[in-house]
Amino acid sequence: MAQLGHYSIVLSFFVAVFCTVALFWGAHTRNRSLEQTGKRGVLVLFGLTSVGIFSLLVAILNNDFSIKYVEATSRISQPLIYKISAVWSAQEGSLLFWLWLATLFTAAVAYFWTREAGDLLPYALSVLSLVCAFFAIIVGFVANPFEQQFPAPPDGRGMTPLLQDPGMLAHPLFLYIGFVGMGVPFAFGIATLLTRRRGSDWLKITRRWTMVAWLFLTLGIVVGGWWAYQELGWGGYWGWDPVENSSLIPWLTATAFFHSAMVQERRGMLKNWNILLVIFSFVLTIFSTFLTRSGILSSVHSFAESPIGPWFMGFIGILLGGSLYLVFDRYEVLTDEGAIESPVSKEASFLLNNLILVAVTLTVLLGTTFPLLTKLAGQEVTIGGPYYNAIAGPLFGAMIILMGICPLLAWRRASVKQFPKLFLWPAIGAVAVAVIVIALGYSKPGAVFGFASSAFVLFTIGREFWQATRARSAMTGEKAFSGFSRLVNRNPRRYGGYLVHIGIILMAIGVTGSHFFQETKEVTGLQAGQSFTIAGRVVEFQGLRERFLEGDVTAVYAEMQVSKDGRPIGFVRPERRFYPGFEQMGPSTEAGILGSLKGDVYVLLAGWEASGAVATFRAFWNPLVAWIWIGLYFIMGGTLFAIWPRRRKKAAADEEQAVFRNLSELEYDFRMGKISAEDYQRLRTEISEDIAGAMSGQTGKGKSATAARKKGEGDPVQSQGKKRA
Amino acid sequence: MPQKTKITLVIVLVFAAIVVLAGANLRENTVYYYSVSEYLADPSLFTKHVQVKGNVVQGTLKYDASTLDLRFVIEDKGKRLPVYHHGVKPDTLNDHPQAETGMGIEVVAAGKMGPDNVFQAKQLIVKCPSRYIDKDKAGQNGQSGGQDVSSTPKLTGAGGK
Repeated sequence: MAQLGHYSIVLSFFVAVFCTVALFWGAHTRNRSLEQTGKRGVLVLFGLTSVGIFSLLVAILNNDFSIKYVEATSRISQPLIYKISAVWSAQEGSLLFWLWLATLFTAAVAYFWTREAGDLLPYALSVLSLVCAFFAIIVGFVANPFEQQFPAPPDGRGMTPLLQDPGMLAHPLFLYIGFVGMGVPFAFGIATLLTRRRGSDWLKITRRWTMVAWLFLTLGIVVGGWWAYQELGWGGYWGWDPVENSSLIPWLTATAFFHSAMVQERRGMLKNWNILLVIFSFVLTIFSTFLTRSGILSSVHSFAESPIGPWFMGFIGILLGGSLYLVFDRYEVLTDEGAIESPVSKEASFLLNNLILVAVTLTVLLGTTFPLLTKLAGQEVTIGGPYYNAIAGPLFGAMIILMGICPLLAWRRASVKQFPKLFLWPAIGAVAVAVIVIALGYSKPGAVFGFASSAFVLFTIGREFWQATRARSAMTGEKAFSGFSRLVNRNPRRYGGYLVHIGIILMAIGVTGSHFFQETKEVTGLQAGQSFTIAGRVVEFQGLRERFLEGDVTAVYAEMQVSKDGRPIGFVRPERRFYPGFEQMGPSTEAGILGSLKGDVYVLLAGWEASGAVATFRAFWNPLVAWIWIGLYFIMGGTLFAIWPRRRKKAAADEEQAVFRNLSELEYDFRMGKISAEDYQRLRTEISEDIAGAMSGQTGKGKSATAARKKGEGDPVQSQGKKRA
Repeated sequence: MPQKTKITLVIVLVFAAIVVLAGANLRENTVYYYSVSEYLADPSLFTKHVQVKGNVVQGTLKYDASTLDLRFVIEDKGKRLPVYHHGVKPDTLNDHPQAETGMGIEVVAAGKMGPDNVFQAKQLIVKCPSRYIDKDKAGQNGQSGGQDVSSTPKLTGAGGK
């Protein structure tokens, strides 16, 4: 197995290099057959890495401890599920997993995007193959998961207990899917530069990829927080640890990217900005993998230092240097088709959102790499959590306010005059919430601001749904309910986006609550039958018990009944687990959590006397934490709603469609009170000119006449346009 | 003023504000990071809040789970520093030699020197080890701290240490 796995990876490196060259050269010299060979090579590449990863899996399942990696991450008695997750639980295996995902995605791009992607495809595949080649070097030659030792030990050491948790099963999986997924928009962005193609096709082609990758990044980060909350035993879910930060950084740039991508798709602007964002998002995912896996930073999660560091630095240098050179060299491809007409418009607010996200990115990046930078300068200096809270806190607050305002602004030109009409009720609602929060005794300014601004966003989104449905009913005469369903299905990206926003806001509420109002308590020497109180809840210690888990794990837990106002509301069972093979580490922590929408009673079992009748605890009251996990479901629902494949009517050419979409949106904006009557008249005239231009095939006038200009090369589906007009 | 200039101006202002904010906070929240030998060589550091890195010395870890008093000694290049921490012992903290290095586990203690020359750690960061030494060898070194490594059921041994 070891030989098979190792040699298939070594071979995959050569195939990846071949694909990179063949695809690029084939496309460049228009040599169709070379291009086709390269494309088939991508499939071979996927086959080879699959053999590699399945060899490792089989070796683990067969308890083949002659492979060092297997010995280090598994043992005979380890539960099946953790034998499977052992594949990606440590450095070498996780890099193999990265490689395998990259080849999987490359193959998927090769065989699902043939028609839409056209001549961008071979270039994009070439870029992706290059990335695969790099990871194949690492897995094949630098951090080989198949390294052997003889004689083989009779049993393995087993996976670190901390990682034997469902959260850790899923967290790296999701995160890596997100990381590798960001490679696809990156590859198409580079392909656009290589082919000197103008326009925004690459964004349309990769739109779904970007959203799916973003969803997985989000899932990975939140599940990671959930794991830390259950396992690390300090009562929190996020500690600005370098490894946590390194997963957040690409998420921030990816979020910025798909917001500004909308501006480019819609208005043909911010082209250079988008390409830079996608380059940095992908390079940062590599950087993040590097930080996490190289052990270069001291972190609770970090692994032993390893030789992969210089390789990663070199590859990041090549990626960044090559991409930036292309951007610089082909800058003329990136000229914008429009300009921001008003500082009060959707595009301007997207720009501001991007600025803030990039600012947070830089802040976190600086903080995370500060120890490295200062180490180079001589004296190592680290940055504490308060730094991040002090800067990221207010910036995230500003983001939330923007999330409330931005969706209500019209494209191109919104008028300040309309603001009272738009924001009056949400603002009144927010103030009401602020008053209620203060009246309840939660008067910390940060928290009041957090809750009030969250409420503001929820009210504006609610108002948006309501007004749009009303406008549609008024225009089409449909009943409110069916009108609503058609409305959201007509524009799934927008309404899915609102759902995602609601999810983010719910998370913000959870973070605000737990950040500002956490209570903590140390209870030493508590005897069975005694109780303590936290946040008005009485926790009664009924005694220590034992239970036995799969994989020869013994767990000792405290049976504790929680009651409120004299009525029992449930149990918490904080636990310490004894994993075989990890005796010298001592028992591992499993927090006892009784969750509710108001907050979690969170108890840790710190230790106990030999008799088992006296124990020591650390207890937390974590308000509103459940909303963080609930928010995640909204984010998932919203993203899935947005990307769910719908049967589209065989529609007119994209450009033509865009003109009619603009018109319909203008109508909605006007009826929902987002723009004033004069602006409405002016824009309507402009768009009408566009349509007239498109119909007659002549060059149109006005700023949004792009559609008409491109008409010459489009296909003749004019009749459809007329019908809808 | 043309629209573009205005927008550029806004961008510059926003960034300037953030840089100032970041700079100010950076200065407040930096913590210097030393190895034990560096730290002990410079007594002027004793009044400052710092992070000190060292390897746990074998057999020095004492933890009283009923009072949450945790004591151990860290060393680097032959210099030793006793550390005290009040709180739950991190799962990964122990005083056994690690397989890869043969030395004790690496700990970063953040805090300040106490009056009795014991370092008062507010926070401990334990480097998550990826490898442990063999069980047989562990048995020879593993008697410190009164830790019961093998008895089942675990309830009867003094737990949580």
